[in-house]
Amino acid sequence: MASALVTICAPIDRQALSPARDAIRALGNPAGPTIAAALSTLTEAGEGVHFASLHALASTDPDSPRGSLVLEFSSDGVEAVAIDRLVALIGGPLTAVFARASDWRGGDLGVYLKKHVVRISQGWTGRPGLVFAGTPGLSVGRILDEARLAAAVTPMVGSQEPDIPALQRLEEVRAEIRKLPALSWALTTPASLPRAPASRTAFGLVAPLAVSFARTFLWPLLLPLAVILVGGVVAGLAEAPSWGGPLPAMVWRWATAIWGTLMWGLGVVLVFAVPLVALGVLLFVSLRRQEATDWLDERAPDHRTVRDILAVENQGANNHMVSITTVKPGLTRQLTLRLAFWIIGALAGLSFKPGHLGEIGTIHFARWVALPGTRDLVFFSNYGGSWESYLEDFITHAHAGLTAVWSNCVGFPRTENLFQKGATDGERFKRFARRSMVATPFWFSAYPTLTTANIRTHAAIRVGLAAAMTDQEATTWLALFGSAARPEHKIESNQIQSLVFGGLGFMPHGRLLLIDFAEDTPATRGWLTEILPRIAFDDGRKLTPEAVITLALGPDALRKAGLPRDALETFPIAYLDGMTGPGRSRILGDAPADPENPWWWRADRPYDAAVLVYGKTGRDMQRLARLVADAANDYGHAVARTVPLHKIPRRAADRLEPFGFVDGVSQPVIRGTYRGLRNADPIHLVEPGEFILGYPDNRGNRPPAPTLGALDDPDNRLPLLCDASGGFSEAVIDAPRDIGRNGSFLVIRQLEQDAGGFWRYCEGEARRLIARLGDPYLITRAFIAAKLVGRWPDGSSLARNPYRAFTEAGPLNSSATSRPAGPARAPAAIAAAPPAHLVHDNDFLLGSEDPEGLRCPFGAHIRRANPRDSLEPGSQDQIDISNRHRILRVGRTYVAQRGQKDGLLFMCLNGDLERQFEFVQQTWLGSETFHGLSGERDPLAGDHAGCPQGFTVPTRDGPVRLQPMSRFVTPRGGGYFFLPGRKLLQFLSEGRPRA
Amino acid sequence: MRQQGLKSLSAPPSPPGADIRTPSSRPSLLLGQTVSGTAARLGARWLRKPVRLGRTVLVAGHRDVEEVLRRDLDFRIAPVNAGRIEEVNGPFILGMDRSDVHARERHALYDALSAVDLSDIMAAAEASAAARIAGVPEGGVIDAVADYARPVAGETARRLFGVSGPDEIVFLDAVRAVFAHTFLNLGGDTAIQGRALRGAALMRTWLVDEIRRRRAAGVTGADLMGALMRQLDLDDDGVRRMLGGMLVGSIDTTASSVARILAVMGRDPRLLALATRDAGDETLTLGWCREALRRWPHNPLVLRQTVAATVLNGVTIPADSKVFAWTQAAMNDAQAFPDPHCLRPDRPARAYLHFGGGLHPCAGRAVNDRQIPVLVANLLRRGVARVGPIAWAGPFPDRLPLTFRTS
Repeated sequence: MASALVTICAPIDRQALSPARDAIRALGNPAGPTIAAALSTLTEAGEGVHFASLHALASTDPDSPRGSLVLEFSSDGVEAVAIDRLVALIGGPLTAVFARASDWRGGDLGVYLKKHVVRISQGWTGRPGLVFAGTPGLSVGRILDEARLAAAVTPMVGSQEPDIPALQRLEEVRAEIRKLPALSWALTTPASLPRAPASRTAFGLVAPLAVSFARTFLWPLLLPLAVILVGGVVAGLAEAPSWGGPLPAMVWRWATAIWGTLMWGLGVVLVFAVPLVALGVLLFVSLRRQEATDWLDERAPDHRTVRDILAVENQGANNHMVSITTVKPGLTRQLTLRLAFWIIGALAGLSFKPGHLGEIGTIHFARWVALPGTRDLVFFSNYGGSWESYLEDFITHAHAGLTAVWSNCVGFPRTENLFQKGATDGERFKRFARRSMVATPFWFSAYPTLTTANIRTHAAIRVGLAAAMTDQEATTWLALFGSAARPEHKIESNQIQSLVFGGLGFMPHGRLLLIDFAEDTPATRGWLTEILPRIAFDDGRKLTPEAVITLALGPDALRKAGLPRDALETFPIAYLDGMTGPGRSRILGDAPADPENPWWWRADRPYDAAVLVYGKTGRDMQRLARLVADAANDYGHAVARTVPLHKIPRRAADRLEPFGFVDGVSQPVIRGTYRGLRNADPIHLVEPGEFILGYPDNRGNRPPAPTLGALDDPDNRLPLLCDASGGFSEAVIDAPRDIGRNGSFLVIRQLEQDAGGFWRYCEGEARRLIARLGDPYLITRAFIAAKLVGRWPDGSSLARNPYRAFTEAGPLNSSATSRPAGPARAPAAIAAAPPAHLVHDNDFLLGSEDPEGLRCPFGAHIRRANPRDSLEPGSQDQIDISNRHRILRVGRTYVAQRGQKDGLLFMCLNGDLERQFEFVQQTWLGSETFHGLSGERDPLAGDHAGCPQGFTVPTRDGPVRLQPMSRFVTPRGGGYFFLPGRKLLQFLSEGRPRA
Repeated sequence: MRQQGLKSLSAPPSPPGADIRTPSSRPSLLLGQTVSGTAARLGARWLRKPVRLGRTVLVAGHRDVEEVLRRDLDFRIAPVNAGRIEEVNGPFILGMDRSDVHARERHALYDALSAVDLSDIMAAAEASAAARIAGVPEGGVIDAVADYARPVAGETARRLFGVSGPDEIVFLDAVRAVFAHTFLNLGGDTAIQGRALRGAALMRTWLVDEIRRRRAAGVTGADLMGALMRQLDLDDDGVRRMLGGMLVGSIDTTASSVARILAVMGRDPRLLALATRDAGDETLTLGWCREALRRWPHNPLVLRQTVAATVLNGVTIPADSKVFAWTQAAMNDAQAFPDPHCLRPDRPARAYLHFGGGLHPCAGRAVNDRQIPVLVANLLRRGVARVGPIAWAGPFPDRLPLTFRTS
């Protein structure tokens, strides 16, 4: 749909201005009912007049004997038809006004108006000026129809039932619309929404600008240049060298001739170019001189005029503005004015969003017009919102363009280089603008209550209503009703299992069930369907049930639930092979087949599902665990193993892991979560994609995702791999489905801890070394333990507390012999908030604060597990590198069975098993050469067989070497699981995939 | 037997003697893989932006072609296909632009397709293909189109869509006649149109009779017809339209693809050897088939039409322009197919445009992706000594002699 932005300017004698104004005022602002009704008439195709205004403007030159009658209107269709239609609609009232023009001789008004159309151009022809449409391609009829549609749909959306998928909500609205014949058009194929120009490189922007510049301004030179060049070449051919003679001589003759022709052509171009460049330099110098000396008008606006303006402003959602200014005298400003219009116009086509002037999207229609026969530059704008907000938008978002144009007019605030400063001096700029304005005597708006934002939203509602086909698009569509499309990085909390947000410590009772599914897809789906309502999603703080489930699935479970093989193969190989897969044990330092330290878990193949059952009370938890197990039995599945978990103590200070240490102090914080939004330490703040699939990671990339073909999701419920937030103009229905989205990989390891052996070792070493180090060292077993771990048992860091624990009155720090062999209290959990004294004891940088390892040894467990900047002290890059390997720990301690020792059910979440858990395990914890060490492994997690060096404690008094140690932590089982997002679980349970 | 079948048609879409079933002796080389392949490679190399001549636009870059297919509201299919499809079959999704009706019917079809277990149908296709080869002696010749790919595809279509009744010759002929008009008769040839209308009438009768029979029996069946009949959004005419639309493209697409794949392999001994080596691997065979088709696709161009002015890769395209998306050139674009001249069976599947894309990919692509490799692999495993040349019937490969190796 074409738009005609027509400006008609007729001369009028000064003495006729006043009666002309009276005649125009009679038409009304806003337009009187008769005029408004006439102008609201639409053609069958929905074409009409969007806005119209009429003015009798005195010239800003007081000596000028003439003024201007200016009619500006914005209409659908082409110019000539639009003028004819306007005359047909309101020809009588218009004739009454234009009859006062000094050149009116009677006759056909349409012919007269067409003769007085102001031809606007940024080049040498026509009057300088610029026109802008904020709702391109939208006719009046379409805008009004879509507004009616939106008004009808909004209550339908608002009154729907809860817990319905977005696509179903959309389908229900469609069903309602089908019953309304007056709106049935809305379900037919829509026109696409305007597209934003593709992003361009600098060259991609400069090249078309250069071509546009040449076509706009240099074309008068191109013809003579071409004539001379062609003439020269023709003349040269007449003197072309001969073809005869020896070949080298002939080649030399021709090469010389061609070279000469090229040089001659270059010379001709230079003859044209050099003066142009010189002119450009002169223009710039002249501009800069004028900018330094031009008069600035800082006077306040005329109060009476402002009152007149205010009397007609703010009568609806939109406003009209007319400003008349005087172009500064001289050739320089004539040229820079045209240049400014050209560059704004060119950039609008190349890089502005459709309907936007730079970043400003509130303008319906606007135009700058230099009135013929005057130095008057008039600006008309039909915009949404208040004048103050409109001007503020210009000051903050589009000051450069505005400055470039208006700085060519008398009195504008001081500028630099045409585009700089000027309108950024907001208060002076607003004075200038207000002072240049006059009240609009007649103004018509076809949709006075609709802003451009409303119109765009209504258009998107209409397109989406007919064209959205997937649940993801439907979600975007629903956001049009008072919300906004979800930004890519914003996590969909209600789709993510609660364990990702924290260890659910407020549900202190827990149990792990490891389940094997039968080779029966319907039975697997049936069991999933049964337990799906019990699975905890969303930030755990919002959970209301007394007990909840976390469900993690192995690859075989996905297969048994019917996920096609080709989709399964898109999962990472580490997950598919499992923790005991080929080569994985060596990476992790495990020996699942070692008869000396047998695994308690089955090692030959992973369990299908890991179900974590957590409850507020033991009874709640047991009841739910029984329900899960019974459901499994009912469907023919088997609970292959159960791991009971310790209750988490109520007091944070009591939450110790089996060695007696407060644990879980240092955790990465996901941006956008509850914790991430509230004062998260930037050292530990990571992007969602580090742990949750489907989101950008720390490097801003969205990692490759496991996918499912579109054919396997005929209901279009699963998230799309492509971005579907940009509207509905592209078909995304055939895009692969992102089945990893909102999921995470869960590592589970049952780690038996030899707390007695650990403390005996610490005690022995403390006795051995008690005389080795003097003040300020106090060699206790707690000191030795702290050096091994990197934190004191109370959780305080060695980096900040090198000689004493923060809570040094604690029993562990009093002497070398007073510590009992095991932990003081029953081991419980690490998955809860740390004690208060540790809240601010985690923002240290090991490299910057302790570059020599004198406080926290290089080999200490926490320095290996998360070196922070240790490997390159003070380097933000190194912190970023370390944060690429963070894991989110959500473990709890298990209850030892007969013949077992207490230990940790280590659990951590990863976006990438190999880059995170396995990397930490292999490259940091398991490496004998970590940080320049030799023959040492992590004192807690490492297998010390074959590590002769023990453990090095750097001190001011030289390195102290602890004796080789036995293994304190022994893996007894584990596996890699996938924690699916809600939509994948729903999808699997509903049985859509191929059987 | 074939001549006998031709003469026995009581209500043939192709009257006896009509050229649609008369194999031409036109050398395949001229319009075949050499010319089209060379043009496509040149197009991919040099046509980096859409080329516009008046209201005709040629798009060759892979990204641009994908964009044309994806931007279905700008580049419409209804002005191109709707008229001919509705004329012979009634509305079908391949002739509809996005709308409420399209969304519902597309969902019904895809939902029904997902409910059909293809395993048995593909096993039957495999068995049929093997049986047809088994009868050919060592060093013998089989017509890889008329006596192999087309009848096997026809059997699959009957099983999948639930068509019973017509004899094989009439069935294949009717489907072909409708296909020729619906997707290839862009010039509006009235003779082709007439044959299509006769074929469509036959197809309609077969489908309606079978739907009625099932309704009367109270058994819908496990095939696509049954799955469609269980769709709440479709009445029986909708079921008939969906089946008719699917049926039309199901047989000759397969037969044509197999013929072209074999012809390409026949001209390239190294390719033939590699594909034969991998014939036991379903995934690799599919990869080789896709690559061979990339040299000589069954559908090198896809047509769309604009309804309003729009911009594609910086080129302004006016309203009512015909936009030819040159899929063959796009599949030779080095930006999507690095080293496009090399045939590699491990290229990403999503880059191929053999079966369209965007809103209107071929709904039967899952069947094609299984059936075409089955047909090709069976021949390769037996050992192919010589292929071709193709004899044409109008736009269709009609016969393709393929000589087996002697041991």
